[in-house]
Amino acid sequence: MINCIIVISASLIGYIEIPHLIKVKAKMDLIVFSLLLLFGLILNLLYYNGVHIPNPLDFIKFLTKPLSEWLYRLL
Amino acid sequence: MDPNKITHHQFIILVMLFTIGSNILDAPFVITNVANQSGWLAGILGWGVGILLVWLYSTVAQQFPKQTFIEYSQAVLGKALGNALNLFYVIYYFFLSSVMVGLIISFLNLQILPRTPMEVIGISFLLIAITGVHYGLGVIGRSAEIFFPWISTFLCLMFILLLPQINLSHLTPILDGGVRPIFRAAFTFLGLPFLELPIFLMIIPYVDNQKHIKKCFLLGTLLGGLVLVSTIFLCILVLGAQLTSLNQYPSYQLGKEISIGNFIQRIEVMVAIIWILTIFYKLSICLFVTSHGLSKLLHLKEQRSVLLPLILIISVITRIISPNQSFYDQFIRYYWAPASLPIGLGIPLLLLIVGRLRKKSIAL
Amino acid sequence: MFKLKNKSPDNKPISQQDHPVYPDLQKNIHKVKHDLGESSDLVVRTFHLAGQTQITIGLLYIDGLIDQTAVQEFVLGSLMTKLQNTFKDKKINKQHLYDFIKESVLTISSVKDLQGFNDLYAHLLSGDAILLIDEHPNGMAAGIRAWEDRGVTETSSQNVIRGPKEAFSETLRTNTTLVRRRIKDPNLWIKTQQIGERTKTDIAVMYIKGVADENVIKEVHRRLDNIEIDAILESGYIEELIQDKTLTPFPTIFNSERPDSIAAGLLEGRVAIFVDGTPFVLMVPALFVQFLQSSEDYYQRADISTLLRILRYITLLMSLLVPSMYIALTTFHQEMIPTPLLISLASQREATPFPAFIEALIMEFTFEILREAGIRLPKAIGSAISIVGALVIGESAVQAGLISPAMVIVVSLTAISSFVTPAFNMAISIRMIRFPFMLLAASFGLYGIIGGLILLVMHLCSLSSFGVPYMAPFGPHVKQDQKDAILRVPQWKMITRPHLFKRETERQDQTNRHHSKMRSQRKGERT
Repeated sequence: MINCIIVISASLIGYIEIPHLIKVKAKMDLIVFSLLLLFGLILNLLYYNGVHIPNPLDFIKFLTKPLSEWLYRLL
Repeated sequence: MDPNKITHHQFIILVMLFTIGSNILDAPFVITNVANQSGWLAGILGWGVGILLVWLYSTVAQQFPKQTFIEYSQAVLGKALGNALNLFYVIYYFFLSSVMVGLIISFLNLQILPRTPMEVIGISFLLIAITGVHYGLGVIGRSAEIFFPWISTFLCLMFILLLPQINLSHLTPILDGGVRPIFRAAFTFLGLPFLELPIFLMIIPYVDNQKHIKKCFLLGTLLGGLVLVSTIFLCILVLGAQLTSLNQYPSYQLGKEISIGNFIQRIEVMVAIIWILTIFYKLSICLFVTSHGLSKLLHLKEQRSVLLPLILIISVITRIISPNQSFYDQFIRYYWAPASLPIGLGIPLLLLIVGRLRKKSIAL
Repeated sequence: MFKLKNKSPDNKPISQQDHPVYPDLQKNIHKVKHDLGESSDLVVRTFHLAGQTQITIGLLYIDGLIDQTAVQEFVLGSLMTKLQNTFKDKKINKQHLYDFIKESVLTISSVKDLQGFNDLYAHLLSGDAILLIDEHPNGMAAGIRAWEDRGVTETSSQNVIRGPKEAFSETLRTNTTLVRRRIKDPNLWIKTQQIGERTKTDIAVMYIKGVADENVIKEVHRRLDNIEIDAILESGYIEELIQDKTLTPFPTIFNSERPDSIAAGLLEGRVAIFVDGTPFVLMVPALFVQFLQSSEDYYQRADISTLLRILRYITLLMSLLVPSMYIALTTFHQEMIPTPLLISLASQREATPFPAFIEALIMEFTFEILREAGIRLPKAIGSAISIVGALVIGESAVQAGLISPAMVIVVSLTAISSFVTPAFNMAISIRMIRFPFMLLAASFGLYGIIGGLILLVMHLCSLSSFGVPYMAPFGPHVKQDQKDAILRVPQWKMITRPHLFKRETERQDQTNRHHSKMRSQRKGERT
């Protein structure tokens, strides 16, 4: 059910935008659009099917940890 | 006519709404958590430093008039380094948009619409914001001008109606924990709106009156900061530091406290309206900059081609990045300000210094 | 003359094929009769010039479109009797005769040469008398148009308590006169053109040169020139064909049947478009605020008008939001209603079978039916409708337990508020948008309403009317125009014209400034 909704909404987005992009002959736009749409589609499908996706904030946390610890110790 | 053109009047309002948006929700809670009843001092300190930062940003912007951040960082730092920074910049505001959506979802879900699915709230809000971005910055600015009187009336009304509830003893003891918690809280407060403000480096070139940019930018931040600091101050005065730091949405609680006679009560809906509107404008600006930055970065013909897929991505990223409230709170409290430092301090300083040096070398 | 013939393609239908007038009178008359399908209102009269039996003249006109006495006196009278002795025993050159009749005989101010049959028909069907001389390849049209019209009567849809009562009528010339009489300025210019392949409706564009923005005037003419349609029967046709954006519920062109309101608009720098056959005159650029202003605002004192305007803004919001607010509060946010009120509402709602949304939808729908019926019904039965409305819908529906009494109050409040808006087309747009708002409120509560409002305001801000942003002076904020938006400051403080209609271009600004200075001098005259 949820997969169905995701795929339908993704194809709806494609249906709205792709004819327009082809009409204005924006090749780069079409590539970026398709990549982003594909990325969004896969991300949604994975997330709603229970696959664990690493939290990007954890990564940012890991990166800024030394800085933040140093700063808060300083203050 | 460029659909993205805005007037300097609109620019001030957008800066102000961006400063208030979302932070009026979480700043009081985060700050009193660290600095207790002296939180308002931290607020004023953070506000002051924030204004200095804005002075830095507008100086950078004035150095390269009529150019967006993406364009001049390439010109100043070279293609490779510039593009790397630009990508970082775009991703930062992409995450900020996701955070905004997350905030509105959790607020509405907890306080107003407990039975509506989170996805529906998030996607509907994103759709409205995307519509705004699709119409262009000009429409966002004009509609902000129309809502602005309402927002300011509601804010003033809230502040005035809360006056009878004030308890001055909530302020004492002042500085019981020493000065260090105040510095820490001020630093956290800095990250909440002020370090995010370089977002306007992408918007400044679209303002009609370039001469007064610095004044407008400073004025917007000044007013927005004033609203934030007074909200923090009132939270402490009315609710007390203890209650403020325990409450998820202290300023919403403030609205609930209002009760004059038997007829003006339960007007927290006013506060909710202010929030939804301000967060909406913050989200729209973030989305505009994300999509505009992306299309400039990748040399796309049209900005709209990235908008709709962004809904799909942001709606799920929002769910991923805040798996639970405590994770999110901790992140906002300890990591957001340090993570914003490169955007809010590092890159502008770098651009300013390198830009100056380049100009000098050209002059020589 | 012959060039014209060469130009016109031969495969076109008869009515569009142009042909010069034949020298033979009988042939001409035959052709006209044939082309008009022997229509019964075509009058053909052949006569001899002042006793000269060798000169035959044909007079053609459409009965009912011309002034009968003028035909008798100035055409037939002049040609048949007054020239009795002029041509006696003289050899007559036909061309000389033609010029002589045109220049010396016809005592009519407008006489024109005909360019061919198309021109002949255009004049004939507009109400001119056509004169054809036998054995002369040309004819003339004498302007003696007159027809029955309604005359200048009182306004029927935009009423005021104080202010001029006269309204435009169906005749273009009467309408332009009504405005001309109010503005005696040589700079008041009128440009006329015909639109409509078949109706050939006269369209007049009126503006004050030097006050109206040149770009707007050019744009109006450009859009009018681009119209290709067979018929224009009302200004609504033009409105739909030249508006900036079709996909919007909001009107971006103002219309009025009041000459004073059109005159005021012209003085502000707007451009008016008159259409023959309708009392409703269009005006551009139109702003949102304009639809909430009545011309009476300027005739009453400033404080009264300001209060009335604020009232109108409130009622506009009410007619948009009251039903959806009621739905949102009773369905989602009961905690926001004060407790005593909530108890009384809940006890009312307990007895009714429908959810609030359905209840509101039924009642709003019923009201729309009543309103529409009230307009279409003959006046004599009008009172029956109000009885049905008040008794059956109001009383009985509540007593039967179908509708809660609170809902009746909500619906009647909405209905009355929507009638406060002076412009009917704006009121109806707001009424239309009310239904999506009710749906939003039923599914998302207050959040839905706020989301809907954000979308609505953004949509309004994205509109523009002939290059002027629709929501000005609110968004974009124009400080100097706030004097006449929600507020209506005293006349002596209205020193400048609306800022909006001029762009920061050329020296047009200078002229405008000059005009506004002149206008401000009225203050001096008074003191």
